[in-house]
Amino acid sequence: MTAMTPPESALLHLDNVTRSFDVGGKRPLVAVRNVSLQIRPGEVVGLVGESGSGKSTIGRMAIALLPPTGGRVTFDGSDLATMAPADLRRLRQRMQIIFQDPWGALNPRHTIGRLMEEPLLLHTTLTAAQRRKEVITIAQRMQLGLSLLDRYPAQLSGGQLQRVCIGRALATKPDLLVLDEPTSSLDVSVRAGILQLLDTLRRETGVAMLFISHDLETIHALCDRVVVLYLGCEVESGPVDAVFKNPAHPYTQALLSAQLSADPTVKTRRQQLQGEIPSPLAAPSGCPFSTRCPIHEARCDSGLPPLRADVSGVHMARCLRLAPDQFPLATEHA
Amino acid sequence: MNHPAPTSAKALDAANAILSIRGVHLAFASRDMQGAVRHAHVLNGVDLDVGLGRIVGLIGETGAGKSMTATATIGLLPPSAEVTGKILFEGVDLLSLQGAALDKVRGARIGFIAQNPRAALEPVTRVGDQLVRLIRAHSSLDAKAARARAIEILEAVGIPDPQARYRAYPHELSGGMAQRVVIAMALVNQPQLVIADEPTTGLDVTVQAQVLDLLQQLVRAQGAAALIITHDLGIVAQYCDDMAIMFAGRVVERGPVAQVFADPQHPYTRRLIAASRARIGSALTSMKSDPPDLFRQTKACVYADRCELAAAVCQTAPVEKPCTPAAPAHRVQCHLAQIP
Repeated sequence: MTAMTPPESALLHLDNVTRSFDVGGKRPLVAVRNVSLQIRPGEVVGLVGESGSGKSTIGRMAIALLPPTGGRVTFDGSDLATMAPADLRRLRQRMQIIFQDPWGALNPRHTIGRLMEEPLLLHTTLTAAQRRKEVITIAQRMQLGLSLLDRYPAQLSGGQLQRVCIGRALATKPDLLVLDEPTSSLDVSVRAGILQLLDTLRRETGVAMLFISHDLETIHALCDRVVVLYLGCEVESGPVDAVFKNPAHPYTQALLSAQLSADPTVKTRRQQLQGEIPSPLAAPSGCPFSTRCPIHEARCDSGLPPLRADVSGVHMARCLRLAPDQFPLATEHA
Repeated sequence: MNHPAPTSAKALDAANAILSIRGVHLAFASRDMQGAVRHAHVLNGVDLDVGLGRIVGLIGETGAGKSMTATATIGLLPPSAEVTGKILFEGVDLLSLQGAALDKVRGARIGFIAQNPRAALEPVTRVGDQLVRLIRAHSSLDAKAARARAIEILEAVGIPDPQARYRAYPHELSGGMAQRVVIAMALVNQPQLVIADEPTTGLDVTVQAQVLDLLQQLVRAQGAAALIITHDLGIVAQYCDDMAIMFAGRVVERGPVAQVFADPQHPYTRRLIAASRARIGSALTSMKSDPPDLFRQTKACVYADRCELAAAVCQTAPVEKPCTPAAPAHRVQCHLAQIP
């Protein structure tokens, strides 16, 4: 028995998706291993993990920038892999991505106004006057002063540029927004404003989001659900409150305890991990976390542990040492 | 946090300071789009102290002048830099030192940890040889003794199998291991002061904690002082004894960490602390956050343009004053700070 959403109600469905890369060695680099993930319309799902955990690869597969090498990605019921190029192009206006580095994402030789007009040119039949009007509306919603429209990216701050990127992404009124570390290159004081903007936009437009980050606080603040990745595997997932209050997987626990509280009176009791994430080329044969796990046992080295769910069916974790009474349910991934 | 500072509250007192930065101004000349010469005023009168054996966090946003303060201290400014003021280290003005005199201090009395460990290590030299070179530049140890010392410090920074890693090239190390080697290089000559510029920015969170724990433990064990540059208030709150907040090339507030967090006086400090704890949906209004214009030099308070409290008095620059008579180490530059 599983309590997962039936695929038909999902906007985005990654079904048992694997992605490997040929890097010239004897073995391919497996960046994402058998990950299943669903995003319902209007839902905000966080993807968290360290570098090399496969977060960005999943984000790229979600919007057909990268095909999976195993499994299926469906958007609104249609399989992205078998879609005709013209249909895929039409579908692209419904899925948009925002990158970590807004400086790299915008053409430095175009004005902000032209950059914001570009998606309207590509995906709509609006006249020049209508496009201009629409750009002004979007700029106001992004809290960008209209005087900025005649400037070039180099004349704007990082926070302003990221607002331009968000405005561009939302110009075609997408159903899904993939955000790949949208605030990690920004200062804390600017970060709060961007998160506030994203939260407002999601409430006003109902856009679904796949929010990729290594910052747990940001995920907690913005997302409905969170998926924790380690070496390309889903190790834990569930509603943010359940995962953050009762992390079940030892990796999630270590990740949460490594957060440094910005309050000197709160002394974090850290569960320190030894070593670093192994190279995906030398991934352990058993549980991916076994090389650093503080509660590792011999049986953890044989095969990938199954994903098990708690009684609610929505909080899942992949660990052999889960308490059986708390995580009684086997899932379809097992 | 696991290693308390040896000295207590009065450590920011200049007499106790191992590093005392006084009124440092730094500008770079450049040309604007029309070809006219203009000056970027990067530092506008920085005052900062690092007490003996204290770990000081220097915090601020991009462009505030954090890294430039460190660069000026270790004498790595480019020749085009126009710098004035005093940077006193153990009583000697580093800005007046040149050549061999400066080399006696750098790498020996002051260790430096750069943000990007890969760029800080020479790519074509084995890490052990880089350490030996650094040891022998500042001591009379022979090659064999220097090698033993290099292996000893690699072990101290938690590098597994240091004998084998001695022969590794930087590209063979992971990011966390490379940063440990850089820490080893900074500490190998037992400096009195370690300057770390965003030491964990490129590292994953679980590795960040390991590296900061190590740095804190080694600095304490050697009785050294440290200046840690960061934009992460969590690092300051959890690892530092004192903190200094920079904005537009000035230190606008400084003091012991517990005191500044408990009773922040400068509007910018208050905003930084609030932003780091902000939750979505809280009453955080959209804030002005344009970066300050470094080309425009003003007589006003550097924060006046962004300050929600700015008044007429803020058109003149505030002078630094102690926040309470009881805690003279906590100092602020704000006309409007409510000081009893």
